Amino acid sequence: MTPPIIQTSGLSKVYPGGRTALAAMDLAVHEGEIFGFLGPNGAGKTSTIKILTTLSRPSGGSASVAGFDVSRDSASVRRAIGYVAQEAGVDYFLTGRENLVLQGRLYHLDRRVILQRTDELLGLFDLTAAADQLVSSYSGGTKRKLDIATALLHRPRVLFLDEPTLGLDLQSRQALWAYIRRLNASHGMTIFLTTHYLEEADKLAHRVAIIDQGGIKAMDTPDRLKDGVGGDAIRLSFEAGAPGPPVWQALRSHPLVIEVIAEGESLHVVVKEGRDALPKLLPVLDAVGAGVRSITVSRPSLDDVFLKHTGKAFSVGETGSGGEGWWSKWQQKGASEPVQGGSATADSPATASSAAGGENGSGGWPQWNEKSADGGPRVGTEPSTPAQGASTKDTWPQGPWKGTT
Amino acid sequence: MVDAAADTWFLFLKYARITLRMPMWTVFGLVQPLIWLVIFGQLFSHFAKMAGFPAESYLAFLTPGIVVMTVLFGSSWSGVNLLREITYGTVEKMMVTAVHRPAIVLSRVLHNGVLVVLQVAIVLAVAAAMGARIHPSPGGMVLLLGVVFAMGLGFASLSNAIALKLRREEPLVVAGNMMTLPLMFFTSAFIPKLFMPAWIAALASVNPVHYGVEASRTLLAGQRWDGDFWLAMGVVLAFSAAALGWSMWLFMRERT
Repeated sequence: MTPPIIQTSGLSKVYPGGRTALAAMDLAVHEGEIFGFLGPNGAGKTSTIKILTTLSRPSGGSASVAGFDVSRDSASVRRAIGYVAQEAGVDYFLTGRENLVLQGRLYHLDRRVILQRTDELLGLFDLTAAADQLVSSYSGGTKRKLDIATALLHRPRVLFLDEPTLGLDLQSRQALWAYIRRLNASHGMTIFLTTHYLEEADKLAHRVAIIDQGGIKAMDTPDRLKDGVGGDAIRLSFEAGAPGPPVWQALRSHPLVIEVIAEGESLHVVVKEGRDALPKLLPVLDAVGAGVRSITVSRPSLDDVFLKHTGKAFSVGETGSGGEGWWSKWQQKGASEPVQGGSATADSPATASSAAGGENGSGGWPQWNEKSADGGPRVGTEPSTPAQGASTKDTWPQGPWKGTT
Repeated sequence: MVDAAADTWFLFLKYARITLRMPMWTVFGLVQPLIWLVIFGQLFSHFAKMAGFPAESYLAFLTPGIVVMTVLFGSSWSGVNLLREITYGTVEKMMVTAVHRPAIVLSRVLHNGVLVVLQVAIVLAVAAAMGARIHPSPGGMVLLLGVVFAMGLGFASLSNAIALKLRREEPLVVAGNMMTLPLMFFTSAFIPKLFMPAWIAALASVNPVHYGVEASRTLLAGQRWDGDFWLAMGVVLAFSAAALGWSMWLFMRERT
C-alpha cells in the first residue's frame, strides 16, 4: 500500500499565550480520498489545515503532505497542494480571468499553459460569462467557485478546503458538493476539507475525522461511524393501511429485528444493519402478504456519533443543518419525517433493495435528495468507497452545478 | 532569482492595473497636498521678502516641501491596503503558492514608489502653472524623481511594517495621520531651517523627511550638488533601505 498522502504524527500546536489548539494528533489520509475534518468552531480544524498548508508551524510532532515534510520542505508541499481558505482570497479588483492568470504566474507556469488552463477552469466552473467582470461584482457562490478554480490552476495532488460552503445558500452549497465530488472522481484528487456542517461531512466525505478540543475523537467512514452508534430504522407503509397481526408477528420473530414500533399506519422496524436486513425482511413480508407500499431506511446521524465520542451534543446553534438524532424525534413524535423521491423511497421491493445496497453500486453518485438535506433522517445510500475504487468515468451529477451562481 | 523578479513584476502589474482601474484614488491622494500648495503658497507669499530668505519666491521654496508631503500622504495608504489584503485572505492565498514571499512586499512598495512619482509630476505641473519658478537641470529632474521613488518605497515600507505591527486598520489610519503632519512640520518644508526655533531645528536634523525636503529643494532649484546635498541623499536612501528591510523582515516572520 502506498504511504498516506497526508500524514501527521504527534502533531501539536500551542499558540503564544499558551492556548493549545492541537494535542498530539495522528492522522493519515490516503490518496484519492475525500477526507472530512469535522468539528465545532475552535476545535482545531483551521490550526491543522494551516500547518498542513505550510501557513503555520507545528509546535511539536511532524506532518507530511505528498511525501514532503511541511517544515523542512515547505516549498515542495506548496507546489503539490491547492488551498481554499474561509475567506475567498481572490482579488476583488481584478476580473475572474485576471485572478486565474495571476495565480498561474505565481506558480511560474508557462504563459500558454496558463491561458489554456484558465479557459478550461472557467468553463468547468461555468464562469465563462463572468470571466471578464470584476470579482467585486460576484456573488458569494461565484466568488467561491473562482477561489477553488484558482487553487486548481497548477493541478495540485491535494486540495485543502477550509469550510468551503460556509455562508453559502443551500443551492450553492449543493452545487459545490457536486463539483468537489467531480474533481475527486475524475482526477483522483485527494480532497481534505474541514467543516462544521455535519451533513456536509456525511454526504461528501469518504472518511471523516471528528475533532474536538485539539484531538481526534473518531475516524472512519460516515457509515461505520454511524453503525457504531446503534441500529437503523426501516420504515414501512402498506397498501392496506395499518398492518395486521401476521405482519407484526413475522417481523417480531425475525432474528435481525431488534424492535418494531407502530407510527400511525406505518411501522418502524429497528435493525442492526438496515442494508443487510432489508433484503432478508422483504421475502418474509411477502410471505405474509403484507403488501408493502414504500420503504425508507433511516440511519443515525453524525450528530449522534459526535455525541457518543465527545460526550456532548454538536452545538445546535452552529450546525443549523445537523438536526437531531432520528430516535429523539421518533421518541417525541413517534415519527420520522417521510423521505420522498430520489432513491430513498422505493415503490417495489426490488428497487428498494438495490437502493439500500448502494455500496456495491457502480461508483456512480446518486442524484441529490433534497429532502435529506434538511436535517431530517437520511438514507445511507451514498457509496463510501474512495475514488480509487470507483469508476473514473463521468458519473457525477451534472445538474446541480449548472446555472448556480 | 529570475522567478523572484518575475513574481515581483507580475504582482507589481496587478497593483498597477488596480490603480489604473481606479484613478480616482490617485487623484484623492493629491487633494491635500494641492490645498497646502495653493493656500500656503498664497498665505506666506510675503515671507520671501524677509532678509536671508533662501529662495526667490515662497511658492518656489514651498514646492519641494509639498513634493515630500505628497509622498507621505500617498504612501500611508500602502499599509492599509496590506491589511485589507490580509483580511480578504489574498495574502494567505499567495503565501500558499510557489511565490517568493519577499516579492509580496517588494511589489507593493515598488508600486507605491511609481505611484508617488506620478503624483509628484502632477504637483510639479500645478506648481509651475501657479508660477513657481522651478528650474531643475534634466539630470536633476531625473534624480528628483529617483529620490521621490526611493521615499515612496521607504514610506510605503514603513506603513506596511506598522500595519503588520498594529494589525488593525483604524489605528493605522490614525497613526498615519498623526505622524504625517508632525513629520512635515519638523522639516524645512514650510520655513527655512535658519528661521526655526532651536529645538525644532534639532528635531529636523534627525528627521529623515527633512533630508528628503532638502535634497528635493536642491534639485528643484538647480543648485549645486554639494556635500550637504549628498548627505541628504544618503540619509534618504539609508532610511528607505532600512524601512524596506524592516517590513520584509516582519513579513517573513509572519508564519507562526
